[in-house]
Amino acid sequence: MVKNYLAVALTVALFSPLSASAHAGHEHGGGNPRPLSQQEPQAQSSPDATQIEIMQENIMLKKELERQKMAVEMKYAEKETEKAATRSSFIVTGMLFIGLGLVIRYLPRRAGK
Amino acid sequence: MLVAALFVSGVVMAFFGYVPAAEQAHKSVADITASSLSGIRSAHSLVAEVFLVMIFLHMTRIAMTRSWHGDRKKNWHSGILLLCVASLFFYTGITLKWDQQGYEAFDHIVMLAGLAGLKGLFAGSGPTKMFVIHAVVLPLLLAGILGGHMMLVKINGISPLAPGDDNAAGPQTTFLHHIRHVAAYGLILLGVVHLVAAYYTPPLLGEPFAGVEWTKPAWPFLFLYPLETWALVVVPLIAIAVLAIIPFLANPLKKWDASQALFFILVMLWAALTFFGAVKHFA
Repeated sequence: MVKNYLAVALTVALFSPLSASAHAGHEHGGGNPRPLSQQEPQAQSSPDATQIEIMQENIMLKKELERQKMAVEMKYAEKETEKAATRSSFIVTGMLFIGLGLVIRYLPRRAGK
Repeated sequence: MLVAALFVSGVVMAFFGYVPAAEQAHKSVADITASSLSGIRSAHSLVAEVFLVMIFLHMTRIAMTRSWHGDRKKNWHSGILLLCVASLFFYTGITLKWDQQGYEAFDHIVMLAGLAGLKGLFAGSGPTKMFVIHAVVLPLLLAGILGGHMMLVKINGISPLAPGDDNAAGPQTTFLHHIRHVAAYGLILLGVVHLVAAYYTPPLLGEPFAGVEWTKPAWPFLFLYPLETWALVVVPLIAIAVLAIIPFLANPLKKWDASQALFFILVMLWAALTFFGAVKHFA
């Protein structure tokens, strides 16, 4: 009886390493440690696609912003140009009036007067 | 007086605000406009415009009294050079703002330089190149030519008011007496301009976009707006040539001669082109 128990115990001790695979994944320490946040690599399988989409939308929004800024600047430039053109007309008219005054002032007098 | 005011206000802005670099020029002008120096900028801009107007009125007076014949031809010719320098001052001053109008003005300079094969001269930072021309080259030219002009006035005397009256007894007035009067009226004019500058802010458009033409030139150059590329050079050169030959058409025996007629025809053409440029839009 004792020999049988000893035989069984010896068999278990010799073949116990084979059962190690059944315990795989439950080691304490060793193995491949990683933070809890990285425990689900399958959840990030399409982050590149989302990021690319966001970047593309960003570029389109920047282009749209640039286009709107250009449109605003163009309207402002045109408005200021119209005001400047009117002001220019007034300046030249004023110069012509003053010039006319000088012409009248320095017109040669008639002989005998 | 006006030249001195322009010099002082220009130096103040250059010292305390303006940065002549393409990336910072516009912002520096905007900062000047928003700061306590805004009055200096207004004064500088207004005095520059009044300066050109006074040059025109001065030329009109000379035309009416035909003070360009005989020895005074050199006065007239040095005066034409001064007109060119003053115009260049105004033009380069516009480019220094580096807003849409300033950039388009600079672009035209680059285009014209390209026609002469000198495009490389204006490569790099536009405001820097224009600042060197505006603040160094042109002031030196002005000092030299103006000095010569004043010297000729002193040598030839102040021209009489009545045309052909050079043989009348004595000059109308002495040089110093005339300078005193000019200085006095100049100071009064400067005072009026500064009062106006207190309530007037010269326009500043936004940062420039390349490859577009949205603005028109300032009023002294509005007559160029309707002209095509080659005419931008040819027409001013023709005008300068016509001004230069005017004294040779003078006839002191007549009360009104061809030289005066030619001068006023030129003025009317300039005014007509200016009004045309003001009302028309070209793509």
